[in-house]
Amino acid sequence: MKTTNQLKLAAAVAAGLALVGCGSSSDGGDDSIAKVFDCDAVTSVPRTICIGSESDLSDSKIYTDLSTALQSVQSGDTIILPAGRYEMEGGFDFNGLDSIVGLTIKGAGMDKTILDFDGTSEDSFHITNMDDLIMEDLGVYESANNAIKTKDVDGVILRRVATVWETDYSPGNGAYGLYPVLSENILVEDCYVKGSADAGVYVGQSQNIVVRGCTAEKNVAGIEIENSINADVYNNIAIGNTGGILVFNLPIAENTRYTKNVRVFDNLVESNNAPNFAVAGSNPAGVHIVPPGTGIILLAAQDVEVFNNTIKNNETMAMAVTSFFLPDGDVDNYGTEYGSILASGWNPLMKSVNIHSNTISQEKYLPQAGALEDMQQIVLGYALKGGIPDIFYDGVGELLANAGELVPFAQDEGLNASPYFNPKEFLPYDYANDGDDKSDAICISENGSATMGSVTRVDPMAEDAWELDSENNPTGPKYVLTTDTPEIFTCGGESGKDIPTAASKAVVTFDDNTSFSCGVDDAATAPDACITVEI
Amino acid sequence: MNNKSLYLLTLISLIFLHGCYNENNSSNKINEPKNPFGTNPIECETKVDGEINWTAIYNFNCNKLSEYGLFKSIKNNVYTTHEDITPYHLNNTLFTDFTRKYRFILLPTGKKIDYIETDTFNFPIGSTLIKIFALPEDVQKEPENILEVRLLIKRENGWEFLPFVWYPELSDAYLSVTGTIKEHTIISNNLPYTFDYRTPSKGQCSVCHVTKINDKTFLTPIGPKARNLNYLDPNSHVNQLQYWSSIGILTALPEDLSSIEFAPNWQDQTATLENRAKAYLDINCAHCHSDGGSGELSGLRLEYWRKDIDYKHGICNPSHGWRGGGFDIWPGRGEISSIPIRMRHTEPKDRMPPIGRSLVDEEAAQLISDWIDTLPYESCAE
Repeated sequence: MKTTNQLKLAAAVAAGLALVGCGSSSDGGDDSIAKVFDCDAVTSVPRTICIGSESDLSDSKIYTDLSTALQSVQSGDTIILPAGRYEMEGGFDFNGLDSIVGLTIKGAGMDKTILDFDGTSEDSFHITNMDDLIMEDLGVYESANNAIKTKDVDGVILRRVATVWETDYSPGNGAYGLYPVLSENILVEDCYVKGSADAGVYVGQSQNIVVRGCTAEKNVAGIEIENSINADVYNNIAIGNTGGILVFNLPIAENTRYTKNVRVFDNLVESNNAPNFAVAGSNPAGVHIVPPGTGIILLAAQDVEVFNNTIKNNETMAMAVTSFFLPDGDVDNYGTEYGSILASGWNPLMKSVNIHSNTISQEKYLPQAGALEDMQQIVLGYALKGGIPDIFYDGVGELLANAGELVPFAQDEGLNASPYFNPKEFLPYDYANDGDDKSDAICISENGSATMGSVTRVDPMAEDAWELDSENNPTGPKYVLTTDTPEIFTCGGESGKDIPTAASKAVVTFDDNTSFSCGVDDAATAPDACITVEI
Repeated sequence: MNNKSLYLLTLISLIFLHGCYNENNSSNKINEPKNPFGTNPIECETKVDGEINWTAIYNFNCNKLSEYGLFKSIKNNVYTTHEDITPYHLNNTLFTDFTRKYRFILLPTGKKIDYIETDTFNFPIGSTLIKIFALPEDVQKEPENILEVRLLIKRENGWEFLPFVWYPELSDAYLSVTGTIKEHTIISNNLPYTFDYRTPSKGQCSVCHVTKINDKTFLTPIGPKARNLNYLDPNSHVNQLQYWSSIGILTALPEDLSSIEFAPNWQDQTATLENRAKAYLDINCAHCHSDGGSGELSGLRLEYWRKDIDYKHGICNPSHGWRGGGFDIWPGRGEISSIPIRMRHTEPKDRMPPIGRSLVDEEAAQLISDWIDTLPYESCAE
C-alpha cells in the first residue's frame, strides 16, 4: 500500500530521473536539443543582448558573443542565450567593480540551453562585485572547476539552472555546482545539480539565503550551507549523494559569519549512499570526511531547526549532529590552532537545535565511517552494538562545556579583547530561554520510531562520562555509544530544558524591493509550516 | 657609457628573439579578430607611422597592437620598441608555464610615477605597461616564440587590460577578448611536456588583477611594487628605482635605498630559504591571497611584507574550500602541506594558482616544501 509520502516520493524520483535523462544519457554530444534562436535585441536601456543570430548558432559564435557581451555590461542588461547545446572554449569572468546593478543571463530552459565546458580549465561562470544578478533557464555542464560562482554579489537569483557532470562519481568532475560565496540575499530555486566532486549547491560565508525546489543528485554533498546566517532550505530533493544536506560551521577566519539561524524542512533526503569521490591528496578534511550514507549533517552550527523532512534509506544514518570536537578533539590545542578564529566569533559547539516531526525510515544499514579516524572507531563500536542510531549526536562538545573544560576560553583575556567573542558560549550549556538568550538545548522529538543516541554522555557527573587512567583521573570523554537514549534529547515539560525559540524565517531581498521568502512569494507551493510562521 | 645606453643595449639584446612560430598543431582555436566594442575606432586606424598613438592609448581599445604605435616594427618574432619606451625588470614574476616575459613602460611626457612603500606604485593617466610573452622551445635553452602581448593602460576610469594574440602570419597581434587556447610542447630537463597554453580572456584578467582598498574594488597591475622593482642591474650596477628617479619618471623615492623593501629573486641561492619562499608566494599567490583578492576567503595573506609567519601565512590554516582538505602549511611537514601539494596538481579544481598555468613549477614546489620542512614542528591536528 502506498502512503501519501510514498506517492510524493515516486513523483519526485520520476521528476529527477527525467532530468537525468536530458543530460547523462549520452556521450556528451547531445545533439537532440534543437538549436533555436528566439531573441529580439533591444538597444535602449535596459538593453537586451542576443547571443548568436538567426544565421549563426555555431559554438564559436555563442562563446564569442557571450564573452564579448560580458566585456561591456551595463547595469540592467539582459543577455539571452539561444536553445541548443554549445561547446565553450573557456569560462566567463565578470567583475562589476562595484558599479553594476542588475544583470540577467537567461537561456531557453535548463534542459534546452546547455553550455558545455568540457576541455576548459577554469570556473565556468565567475561573477563578482555587483548587485542583483539573475541567471535562469540554463544548463552548465562539465565545468573544469566550479560551475557558477558568485563572490561579493548582493542579490543573487539562480533559478531553473542545472549544473551537471555527466559521469557518475568521477573524481575528475568539477568542484562546486551552484556556489554563491561571500554574497548576500541569495535565492536558489528549482535547480538541478548533479555529479559535483564537492557540493552540488554550496552557499558559503553568506547571509539571507533561500534554497528551494532543487534536486541535488550524485554529488559528494548535495546541498551545503556553510558559515552562513539566515537560511531556509526547503522543498528540495537530495538523492544519491554521499551526504544529502549539510549545515556546516567551519573554522574560517575570513569574515565573521558563523552558521546561525538555519532551517531545513520539507525536503526529501533519500538514499544518499554514494561513495565519497572527493579524493585529492591524503589529508582527511573538508567534504572528504563526509561518511557515505548520511542524510543530513549538522556541524557546529547554532539555531538550527530540522523538521517535516522525509529522510529515508540513508544506509549509515539519517542524521548526524556533531560539535567540532568530534573531528578535532584536542581541546588543549584549540587556543594555538584556532585562536584567531575563536576571536572572530567561531564556536565549535553545536547549540540550540530542534529536530522534530521528520519521517525517518531505513530499509537496511550498511554503515560507513568515511575518512575521519575517530568516526571509524565509532562506527566500528556501534557495529558491535548492533548499529548506529538513526539520529546520531556526538555529545562531546556538550560534555566538555558542561564539565567546565571550555571555561579557560571564556576567561581568556586575548579572546575577550575581540568584539566578536562571546565568553558565555564557552560556559556550561544554559537550557533556558531567558530574554534574548535562547536555550542551548539539543532537542529531538516526534520523529516516529527513529532511534537517537550519543557518542558520549552530556552529564559530566554520569559515572561513565570519562575515560579514567590507572589512578582514576579522567583523561577525556568516554565513548559510551548509546544506541537509543531519547531522554537526553527531551525538552519541555519536566525535562528542565526549554525548546530553543524557533529559528526565524529567511528573507531574501532583491533589488531593494522584491522579497523572496517561504510562504511570501510562493504561497501556492510553500509547505504549511511557512504559512503559519511569523517573520 | 651612461645608464640609458646600457638599458638600450639590454633592449637590443632582447630584440633578437630566435626561433619560429610553428603552426603544427591541429587543436588550435584561433578566433577571428573582431573588435568587441563595435567597429574599430577610426582613431586606431589613423595613426602616424613612427609615432605613438596617444589618442588611442587614452581612449580606445584597438583591434591591432600595431595601431598603438608602441613598436617601430613587429614581425617574425623580432620587434623594436619606440624610443620613448623603457624596458624594466622585476625581481620575481608569476610562473606561467615557463613563458619568458619582457616588460616595458611608456609614460606621457613629463608625467611621473609616485613611489609607494608596499602596494603597486601610483601611475599617472596614460601609463602603459607592455608585457611580451615568449615561450622557449626548451626551458634550458635560448630559442623562443612570441605568443602574446598584454597592454595594461591606466585611463581616467582605471586600468584597462588588453590581451593581444599574434596573427598566424606573425605580422601583428590582434585584441582577443575571448582568450585563446593552443597546444604547445616544451622541453624541460630533456623531457617533453605537451600542454594547452591559455591566453586569458579580458574578463579573466580581473581574477588576478582585482584588489580592494577602503572597501572600493578596482583593477591594478601586480608586479610594479617597490620590492619587485628594487633591482640592481648586474651589468651597470645601477639600481632600477634610482635609474627611474634619475630619468625623471619616479617621484618620492626614499634617499636611503637600503630602506626600500626588497624581495630577492626566488632562485637566488644567496638569499635565505625563507625569503626566497616568501618572495615566490608573494608574486605567485598574494594577488589573490590578500584583502579583497579573489582568494581572500582562504584566510591566507601571502604578501612579502608580512613579517610574521603565522596563521595568515598558512601555518595550520585549514585548506578551506578544497576537497583535499589538510592545512596550507603544516610546519615541519612540507610533504603533507597543501601549498606545495596544490602547486604540484594540474587539475583546475585542485591546482594553485587555479589559472595561469597548466604545468608544474617543480623547482618552486620543492623550494616551498623544503622551507616548510625547516619550520619548527607543530601539530595542526591530532
